[in-house]
Amino acid sequence: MTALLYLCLFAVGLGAGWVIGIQMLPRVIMKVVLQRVDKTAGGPNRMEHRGPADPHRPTIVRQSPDLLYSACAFDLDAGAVQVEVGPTEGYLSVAFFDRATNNFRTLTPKDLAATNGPVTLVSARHTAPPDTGVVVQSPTQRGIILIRRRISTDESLARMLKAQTGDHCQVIAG
Amino acid sequence: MVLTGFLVTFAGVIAGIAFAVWRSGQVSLRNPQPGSSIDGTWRTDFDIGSENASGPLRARIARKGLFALSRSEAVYYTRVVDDTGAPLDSTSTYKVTGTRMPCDWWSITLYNQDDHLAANHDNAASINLDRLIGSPEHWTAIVGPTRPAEPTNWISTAGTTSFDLTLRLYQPDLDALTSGKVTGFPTVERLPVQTGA
Repeated sequence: MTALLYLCLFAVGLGAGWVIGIQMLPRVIMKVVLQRVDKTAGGPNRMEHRGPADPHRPTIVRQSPDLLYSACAFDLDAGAVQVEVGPTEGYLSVAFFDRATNNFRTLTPKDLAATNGPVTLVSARHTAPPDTGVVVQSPTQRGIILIRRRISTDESLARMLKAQTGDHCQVIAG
Repeated sequence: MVLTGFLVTFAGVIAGIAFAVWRSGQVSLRNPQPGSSIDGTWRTDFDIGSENASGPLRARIARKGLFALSRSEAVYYTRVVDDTGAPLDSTSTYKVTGTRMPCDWWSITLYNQDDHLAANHDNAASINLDRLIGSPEHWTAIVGPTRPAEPTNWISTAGTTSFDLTLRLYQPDLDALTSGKVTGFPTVERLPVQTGA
């Protein structure tokens, strides 16, 4: 009888552990990534301009060697964050990920061309400042903004690296 | 008895967490959505990056494909076997044959079993539509450890133990992909071993 009770308790623990593990894993991984980007970019709300993928110095799983990445670890506790994207020919995407790694919004060149204003990331607590272009609302205070550019050819890499220097993120309001 | 019960429950929680971490690292994608498996070889889950993603899928993506885009922007197919169903083998050479695919742009990238690019100096980690040698309507590529003698599309397996191939389709034609009737995905044929004279 006692053994059966212990078996049931173990099964309950196992189920609870499964749920906890599945729910917590993306948050734990994102926390590690946020700390890493904070460190390399010099703090939150600063853009990190990454070079082409280096197979001998991997920074992230399944990085594409055909894309050039800029990353900003945002922290909306400091205020709304404005994102500037360097002018780019060809493919571009600006993807927003929340604290649990969910891709809650992606902007394409078409979205960016629809307005001449900047991109502003806000939380539920903020109101977007006037004359704001695209407004994106984040479900969490922390997360990652990832800008991807296609490296079409070896010749295009220099142009993409130059365009990448126009990527910025900064706090604009408290 | 209460203490023992607590310890047994705690052990179960730890085992459950460990199992969740282990399971999320497995490659299998078995969600039976229309179009999520092409010929039983290229597999995806259209819920990647979407609000519909289940907890286990989110955990899996966090470990195996962090920062994946939602399907309206990109669809990611992975395959771990050749056309006969045999696991892809680092010591073998494969011929990949493809045609135009239902998207604006595509790439095929090889990843080592540790989910990183193969640690070699071949500068041949992937092929993509822009760099393709030959017609996008009918193209071939070699996947193997040695650079082909003739200029051709090549993905190097040097520096890998076992590997998989990831096909990224950007700005995909989702209607075509989810119809379950899409054709023209790349085939992967293992080439016979070359023997010396």
